[in-house]
Amino acid sequence: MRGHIEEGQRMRKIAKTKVKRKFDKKLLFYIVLMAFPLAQFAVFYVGVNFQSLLMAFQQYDSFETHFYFGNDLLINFKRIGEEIGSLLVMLKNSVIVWFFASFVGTVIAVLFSYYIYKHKRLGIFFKFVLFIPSILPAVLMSSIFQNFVNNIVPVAFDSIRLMDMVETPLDVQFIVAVFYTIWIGFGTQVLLYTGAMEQISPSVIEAAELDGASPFREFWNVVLPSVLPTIGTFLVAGVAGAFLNQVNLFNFFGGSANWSVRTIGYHMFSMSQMKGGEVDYPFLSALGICCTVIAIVPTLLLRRYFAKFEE
Amino acid sequence: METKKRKRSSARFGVMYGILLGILVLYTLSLIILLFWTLITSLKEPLAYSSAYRQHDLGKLIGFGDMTFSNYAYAFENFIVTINSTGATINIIGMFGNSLIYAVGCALLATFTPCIVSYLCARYHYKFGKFVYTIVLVVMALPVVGSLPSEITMVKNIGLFDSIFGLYILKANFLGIYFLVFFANFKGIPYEYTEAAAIDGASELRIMVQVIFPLASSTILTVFILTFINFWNDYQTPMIYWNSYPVAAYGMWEFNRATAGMTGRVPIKLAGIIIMALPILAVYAVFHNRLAANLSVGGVKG
Repeated sequence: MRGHIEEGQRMRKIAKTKVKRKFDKKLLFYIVLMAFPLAQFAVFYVGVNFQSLLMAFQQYDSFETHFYFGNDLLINFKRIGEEIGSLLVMLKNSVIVWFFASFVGTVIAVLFSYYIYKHKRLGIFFKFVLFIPSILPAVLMSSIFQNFVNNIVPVAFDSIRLMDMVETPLDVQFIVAVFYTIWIGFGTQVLLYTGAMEQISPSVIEAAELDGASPFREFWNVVLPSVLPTIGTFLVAGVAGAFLNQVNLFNFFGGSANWSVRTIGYHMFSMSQMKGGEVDYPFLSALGICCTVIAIVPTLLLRRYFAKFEE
Repeated sequence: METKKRKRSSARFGVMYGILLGILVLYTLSLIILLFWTLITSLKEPLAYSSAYRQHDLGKLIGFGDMTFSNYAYAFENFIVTINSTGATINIIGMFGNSLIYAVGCALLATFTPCIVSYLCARYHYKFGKFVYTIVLVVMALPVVGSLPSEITMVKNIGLFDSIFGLYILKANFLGIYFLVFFANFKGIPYEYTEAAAIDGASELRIMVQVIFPLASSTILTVFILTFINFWNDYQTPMIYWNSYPVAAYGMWEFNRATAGMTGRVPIKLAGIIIMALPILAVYAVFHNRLAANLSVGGVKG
């Protein structure tokens, strides 16, 4: 009897050890695979942003080629105050681009996606063509577009060149850049929205049809609520992207676009990539902090709004 | 009453369908016309094109004239970029090679890093996984702006500047929308697969690589192709971080800038564009069905 008990205890101990070993292996596997991505995140997200925060209060020594804390820690923020006139124009441009790209672009993309989702045959063709601008390098598409509106449109409509850095009025340059950005921007959105629509259970659509729901009602009450989380993800990401959007100006004009057509994203990129641009890095970091603060509120509001649709 | 209401709603959507179809047709036509114009113009004699522009002769500008393939030969031979740091030059083949090294490596890392991290978060019940998931959502929701100068400085400081491995490490991050795509995919795979493989004695690595990843292979390949296309088309990142090795898209940008305003150069420029676009169009032609496959993203709630 006692022998049986001892045997049982021994077996349980072996089983426990096996489970523990298995658990240890599982944990080890988990840790090993997580290590590199987390290290990358620590350096290139946490580290970079922390350094960016510090940089906003620093200055650059061109002779010693290093950043240092000077006597005036707010010097970069004061420079923002000095350049506020042109920066506000860029901010306004960024907001206009964000509005049109996020809202007008999204509405059109969702409607296109629904049409493609419902009309499978024609949908395949439209999906194929719609995605072409996303496939071709942006620099190629913008080059084709720029040559077309500068060569063909003026001759066909007896107008000015529409995207010429010298000849085209600045407001026209900006309108054409915004139009172009929306015009080529549907591809990825349509792909993801139709993907989300195809996730809707066919039985739900069938039930709606059996209940006699009209196509409009089906779209409004069944399809749209199902893709709202995807739309929300895009819109939330769009706020963050508002200050990064270059409206293809770098593709069109390199780093020489006029200040009044610049967006914050374009301005920051063109200044960052310049040779010897380190002098302006602290100012750009300070500007980045200001833009981050501006973007936080709409981001959180949008996120909160769309989160309720996932209940 | 109800039937009337339904008819009105149906008619309203019928009109909407019509308008949508009209817009879609116009949109696709605008793209097709532009691409067709590119093709036709790339085959035109540069001098003839230039004189047609000066004379405002629309027929000659958009119509078929004398066709020549010499623009392609010229573009192929003369698409040369001078490397700023060394003063050496690189031709189109060299730039294609650089694009391939950059795009394939970065696409592999930018696909498998979020893929593996989302696998760990979705399939393992450690609390840390939830923490990582929250990090992804917070980072996506937090609109951090202006970190490019700091990133450039960081890359220089740790000796990864102007190195392809530096670029690979920079791009091997798990943040972003593809993490959510993979996460949704892995969550949807029943746990019975994992349990059955574990009972058969498969290791954790084997379960991941030989059981779960094949079940998500469609999504993995789609994300890889999308990221590959993205990196192939990107010239700004290599322009900053890998500037001694110009990629094809950068070559095009440089050529476009150098010939801005020169109407006579337009046919050659467009021939160059077609040469540059061919590899990516071939990828698209082969994989467009896969790209059209299901790719769904979750929401924004933590």
